[in-house]
Amino acid sequence: MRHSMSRLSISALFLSALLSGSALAAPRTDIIVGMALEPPHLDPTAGAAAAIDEVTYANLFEGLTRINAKGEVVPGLAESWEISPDGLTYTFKLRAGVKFHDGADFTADDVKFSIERAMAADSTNAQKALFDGITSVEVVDAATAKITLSRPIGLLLYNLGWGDAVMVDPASAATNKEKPVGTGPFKFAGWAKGSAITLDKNPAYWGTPAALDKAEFRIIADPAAATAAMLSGDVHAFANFPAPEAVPQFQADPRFAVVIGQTEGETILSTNNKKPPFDNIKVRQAIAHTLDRQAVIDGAMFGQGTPIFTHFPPFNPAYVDLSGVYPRDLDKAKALLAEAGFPDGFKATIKLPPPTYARRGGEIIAAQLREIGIDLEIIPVEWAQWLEQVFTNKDYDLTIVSHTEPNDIGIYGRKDYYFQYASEAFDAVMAKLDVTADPAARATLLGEAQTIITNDAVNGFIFQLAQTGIRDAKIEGMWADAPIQAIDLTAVRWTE
Amino acid sequence: MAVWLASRLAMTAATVLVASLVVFGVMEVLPGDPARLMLGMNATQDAVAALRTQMGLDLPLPVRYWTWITGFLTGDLGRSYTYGVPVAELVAERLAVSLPLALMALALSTLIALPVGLFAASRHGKTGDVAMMGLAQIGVAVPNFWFAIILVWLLVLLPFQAQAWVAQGGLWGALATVLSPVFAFFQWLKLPAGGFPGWEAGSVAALKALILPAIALALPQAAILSRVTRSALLEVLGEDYIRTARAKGLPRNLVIRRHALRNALIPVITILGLQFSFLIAGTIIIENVFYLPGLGRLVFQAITQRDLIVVQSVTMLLVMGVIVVNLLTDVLYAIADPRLRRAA
Repeated sequence: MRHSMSRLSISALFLSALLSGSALAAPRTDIIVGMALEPPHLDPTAGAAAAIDEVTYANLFEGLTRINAKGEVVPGLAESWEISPDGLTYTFKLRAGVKFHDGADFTADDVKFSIERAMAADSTNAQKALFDGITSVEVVDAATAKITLSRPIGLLLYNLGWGDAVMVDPASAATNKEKPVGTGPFKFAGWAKGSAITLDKNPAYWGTPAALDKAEFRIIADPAAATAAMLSGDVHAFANFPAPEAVPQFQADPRFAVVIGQTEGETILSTNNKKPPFDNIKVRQAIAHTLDRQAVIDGAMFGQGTPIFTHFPPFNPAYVDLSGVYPRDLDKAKALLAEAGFPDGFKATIKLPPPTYARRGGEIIAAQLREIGIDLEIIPVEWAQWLEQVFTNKDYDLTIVSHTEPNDIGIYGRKDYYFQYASEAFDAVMAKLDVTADPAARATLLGEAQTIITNDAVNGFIFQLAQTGIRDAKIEGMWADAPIQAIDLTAVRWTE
Repeated sequence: MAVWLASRLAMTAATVLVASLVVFGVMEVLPGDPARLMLGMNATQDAVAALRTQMGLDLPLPVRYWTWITGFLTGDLGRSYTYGVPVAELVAERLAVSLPLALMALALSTLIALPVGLFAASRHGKTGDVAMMGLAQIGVAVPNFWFAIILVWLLVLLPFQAQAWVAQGGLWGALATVLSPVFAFFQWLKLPAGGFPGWEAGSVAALKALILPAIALALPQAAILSRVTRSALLEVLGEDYIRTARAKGLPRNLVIRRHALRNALIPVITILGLQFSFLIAGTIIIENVFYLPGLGRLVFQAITQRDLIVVQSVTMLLVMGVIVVNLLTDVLYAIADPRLRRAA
């Protein structure tokens, strides 16, 4: 016993020496943030991958406006703006003293260059449609830029806050994929491909300087590895932790803080509205009466997520509660199927892309639909196949996917979109929305739009994707929600 | 030997050509448009078309094959669609992780397997043999990623949780107390749970990042190799010339070392050759568990992102690597067994 006691005291000494060393130090100024997917490159104006925006948005690149942690539009590189009474001309007053990381001044010429580049015929901007309706960008003087529209666009200021609309410098625009040069509070330091991306503080930043001197994004795709990396302290935070099953372990551990936040991701059972029998509204209504959303959230997402009944985020002020339109009612569903001419149900397919919400969720939904006699064959597909077969060629019956873009209810008005849905009533509401600036009137119209797609049971609306942020408890300033794809480190700091 | 080598080389060249056609063909029939994948669901049709032109995907098939293969043979592996950097650069970066890892794993597995195989063969049928082969059986059955997870838990995470157990007391507390010097050692060593700091961070840090993955890779390989070594040795030990050597009065250990081991090496070399090919390309899972930026993960990621040029060029390099290793294995056979040289 004495023997083991002395061993214990030696190791205790050892430990206390280790611990005291770190406790006395000043707050650290470096952070390692884990992320599951590596960005393919670092130019937010030339790719759709969320990982690009997560690294670059607000940290490296800034736009005329920006979206803040609450999803509001606030001034970015434009400190103010004036909108003409007809809503067709926006005059932006730019901030003074803004410099790109390579030392070049940011002026109205860069505004003209950046927007025209995104709109050009050979543009590879993934959100080129954001700029539809802009007819010209003029340089009034070095600190003033004017954007003219062909029709009023209620969302223009919001659209200019997307990562795809950030300001770039003509001298470095072509090389931003490899070596991004923006105006943000951090500048690019290095990228060990497949491993980590490092950023350094930008000492010449125009605004509030970042509290961190150094930030590293470390790529960890494997859920078990992500858990081990957090537990061992190799990584300090995950904005979106990839292993929901491990969350209770972190919630119970005082070393960590866990925040379940909201995202703009509406996860839906997308339905091919032109393909029989799904072209029959009674079939779609039968499906809507069958869905048990909470069962999907519990079974596929470990309880994380909020049920939705239309294509709109529940935390948005313009959300309307449509849960009563098609309550779960299997008898009603079977009756509707019989009216549609399928008293014994039918066979169909469901194509499932790789994310957990789709693969696990798809099995649960297939089991639910079997209760009313719809027998689904499950076909797992990769993203590349999904985009080609489902999205581009519309060769599918049902699929599950999360639509992560903010303010994307407008996709229900696109005639070539993969839902293959067309509604004149919906289009009329959207046309009115485009020319309406008043927030209250906009909310009313958005409510009408939500009601139309719910009544038509265009898709099965399942749940709003949550995001699980896990961080060292001594870190503050990270976003809880994800109103836009970003891991904004500008206000992140260590408390001790 | 020269004629034998020449015919082997000609066969190798033909294999490379056929492989290049197959690799290119498979990439072509793979569904999914790289440009659409890059730009996502909201991209307009003309933006996707512009990117396809930029990537050179709108050129005719034979032109693309010719550009690729001629470039490949002159050392230009093309430019990654997604990263936008030369593929050769990417591969070189990844080989700086994968090659040392594969070599470490190979060395470890050989260092474990040969003595174990020798020991088991020399104790044939006795307790030592049964125990070793029982362990090897477990090693063969258990997948390496499970070893990896257990290693991380045991050597990285557990040492930091152990003091809580000591405080709790009871059976686990007593165990943790007894083991505390071991835990203290690993706390001091602080092996990373994964990741690779790069060789520029110093060779100690880099080797610390590679040691657990190398062990996880080596253990199942060592299990297979030790079984092969044992059975090859046993077979040789039953030969007439071994009995003659023993009858001459040579001690058993000398017989094994001088007469049996060399003759038993052929199957061992075969397995080693196969294992090396596996270790270079087949480490995707281990690289994922330890999030190492190795070649396997590069290929995996490139396939899901439809970075066809990377997949094509890396696959081709791996094919060539395997072919070269096979060639070297054959040469090694010929060195180990003169009869094979004369037969050809």
